[in-house]
Amino acid sequence: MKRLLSRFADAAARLAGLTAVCALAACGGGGGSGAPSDSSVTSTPVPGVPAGGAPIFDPTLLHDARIEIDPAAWKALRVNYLSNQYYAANFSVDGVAVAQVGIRSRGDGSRSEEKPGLKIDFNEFVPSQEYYGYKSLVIDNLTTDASMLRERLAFLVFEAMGIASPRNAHARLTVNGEYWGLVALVEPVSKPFLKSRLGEESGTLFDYEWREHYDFDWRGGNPDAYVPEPFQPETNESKPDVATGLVGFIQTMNEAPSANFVTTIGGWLDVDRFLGHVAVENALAEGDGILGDQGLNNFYLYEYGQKNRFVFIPWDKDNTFRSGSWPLYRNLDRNVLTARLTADPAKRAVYADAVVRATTNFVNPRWLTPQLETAYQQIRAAALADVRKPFSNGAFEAAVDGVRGVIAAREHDVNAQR
Amino acid sequence: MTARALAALLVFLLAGPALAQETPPAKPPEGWKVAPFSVSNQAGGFQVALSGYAQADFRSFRDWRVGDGTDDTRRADDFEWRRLRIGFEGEWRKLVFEFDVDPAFDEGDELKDARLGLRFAKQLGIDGGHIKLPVSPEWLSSAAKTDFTERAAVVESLAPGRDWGGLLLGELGRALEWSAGVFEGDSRTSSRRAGTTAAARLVLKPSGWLDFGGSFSQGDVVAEPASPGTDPSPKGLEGTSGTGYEFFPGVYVNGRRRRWGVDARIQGGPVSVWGEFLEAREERKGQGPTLEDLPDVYGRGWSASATWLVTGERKTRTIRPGRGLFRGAGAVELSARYEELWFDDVSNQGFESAGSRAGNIRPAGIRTFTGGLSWWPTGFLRFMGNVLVERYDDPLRAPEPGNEGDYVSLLGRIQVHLP
Repeated sequence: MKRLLSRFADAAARLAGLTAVCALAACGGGGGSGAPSDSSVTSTPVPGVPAGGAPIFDPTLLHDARIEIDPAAWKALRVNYLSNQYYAANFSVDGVAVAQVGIRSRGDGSRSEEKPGLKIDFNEFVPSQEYYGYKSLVIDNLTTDASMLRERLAFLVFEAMGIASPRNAHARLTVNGEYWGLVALVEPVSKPFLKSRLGEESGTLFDYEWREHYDFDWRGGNPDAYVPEPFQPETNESKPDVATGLVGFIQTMNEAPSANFVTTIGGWLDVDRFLGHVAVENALAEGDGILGDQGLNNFYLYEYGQKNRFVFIPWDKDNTFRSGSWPLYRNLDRNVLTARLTADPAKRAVYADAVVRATTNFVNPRWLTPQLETAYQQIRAAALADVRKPFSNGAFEAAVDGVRGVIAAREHDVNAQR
Repeated sequence: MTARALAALLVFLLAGPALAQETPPAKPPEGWKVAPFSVSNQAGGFQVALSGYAQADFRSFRDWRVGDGTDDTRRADDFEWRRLRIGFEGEWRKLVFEFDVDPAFDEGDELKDARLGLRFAKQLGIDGGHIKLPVSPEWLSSAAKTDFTERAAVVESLAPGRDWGGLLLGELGRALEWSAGVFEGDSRTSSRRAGTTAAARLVLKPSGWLDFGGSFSQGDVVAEPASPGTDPSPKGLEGTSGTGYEFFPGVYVNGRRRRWGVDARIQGGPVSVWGEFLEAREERKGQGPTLEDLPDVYGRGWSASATWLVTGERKTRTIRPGRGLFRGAGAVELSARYEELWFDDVSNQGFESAGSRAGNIRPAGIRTFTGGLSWWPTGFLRFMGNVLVERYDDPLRAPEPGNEGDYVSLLGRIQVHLP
């Protein structure tokens, strides 16, 4: 009887703490239960990974992500993988379930019918529903990176260099009981991220959406030239003056006099931190970031609340570790901001020092290779069993070898170019 | 609210009572009768009267919000200028006419009733224009004369609206009223409008205090085409509570939309008892995720209410305050209503989904108790107070996810109307 009462009390307490999250069994999936209401659950420290955060982003674990969905809806999502149509599903990670989420196909070049990348919106069908404090989650299908671990390693380096980056962990994805492949759970850059990593969330977050080659050139003072494309507001969307600061920032990039450009633009962003960001891109031999070959790409831009001050946040780092030999100053002249900043000899030196620091401390066999090997061992079986990845198992192994080689070469290559 | 709307309301509020007290300055021509809001000539079979009313609604949502509170646009506002109806109605020999608009608060839906009719005989008449489809008796009642601030959720969610069309109607003896017509759609201003819709209603009156009614409508809904890159809107009927919370967003439908309902009313002296059942069923041809046919979706519900004019006036369509229990205090009515409304599909196979193309729709429903008090201090003023207690069947899609209820809300209304 006492045991029964105790179980009842536990159940009541759990029920009271539940907001929009239900036990897996109750959601029809069968299995364990839990209430992910605490977004500050800690995980085993990993170099380069910020402490705290939701346990679903704990990289020490290969997570178990499950989707339960109407088979017809899953088929439709795959057939119409270019569409952003939402379908309702139940979702769980490691047994912690959330019901009636909206899922849709996502990605640009990574969109796939065979192995869709997914965006999960927890409040698409249930008002204000959250999961560990997040309204959405990205499930990266890892189809554009044969090693399947580039982004994870890249974000470790960004973090280690003091650039706030999304958390990222691998998971086995199961759909209606069928293994659907190895994926990555990627922390969304949204208000919880801003609050925990930047200390505030009242400002405006812009998602840079690549549509055409753009390099921060001045398109005039009309905000429509910048918002919503290529800068898509993700917060404060309804504010009529949402683009005012952004337009001022870009105008300053383009029109501030060269004589005091660094000082002037320094009023808009932390210049050394920004140079650190692009330095990591080149340290990682990335060809698709702010210094991208096709113009700006793969970042969020956050304008702090009431401050007219911006910070860049990295995103989508699957195009890293491309070569062990990579020009130290590659593409710095491609966009207005880095070109004008590094025209200043002192800032050029700050940039170069940051690349050296990144490779000397992190992108080398001493620091990053152990991370690679740990991740590789963690995902290898799941990757080999993933028959929906668009490359062979041999290509997977070769790609991991390739990343090993790049890591081994970067430090020497950078030092040789100083 | 626009300045124009404010001005119109002000004129209405100030002019109405003042006009009511004025004495006609001059004697009308012989045969004509001029009252404060009407003109008539009995010999000529002519009569025209102004009609109109204004309503301001107040709401207090006791201890609940939608989601985390940032989404309170999903329920009705705390204060709302609800309606400002201005119009006229009348008859001339066999011709009847009615016209009213809401120029202030229903943007894009200003036109309400525009009716022109002929009464050939008591047994047969014809109406045409922009009129209500004859389906639910509560919907057919003027919003100024409903027993509660909100019509039953089943009526608000499932009954058709106004549309262009024609209607044959009449009475057979004293025991039967009938109407049947064809309309361009089933709600002109709705994005979920069906195409050409037929509707009919029959009311049996076995005695002066008892009515039985039955209604039916049928039309076809044509879904917008779905293809990659397009994002069509679902046209299925939505489930909305008395507090304005949408607990069942409409799903994609395509094909026949049928409604049927039955109702009964007992009315004697100061007391009335009213019950209504209504069902709407919609086909979902080709609306599955892979464009397959899906089982029909239905919304179904009923309501039962009772009212008592404690001041003793006779319960009629228009309440005329007498002296009653509280001498000179006007008319006071107590009312109570219980109702249920739920949505589901006709099968129960596979994954239950809240999605708009769900093969197996996750059912959603609401049960509501409403207690009400109405006070007519004069013939042109009405105060209403309602308490709503709402409980949702699907806790996940309740206003506060995980909490099925009870959600308690207080609704108040001030209404000024032409007597």
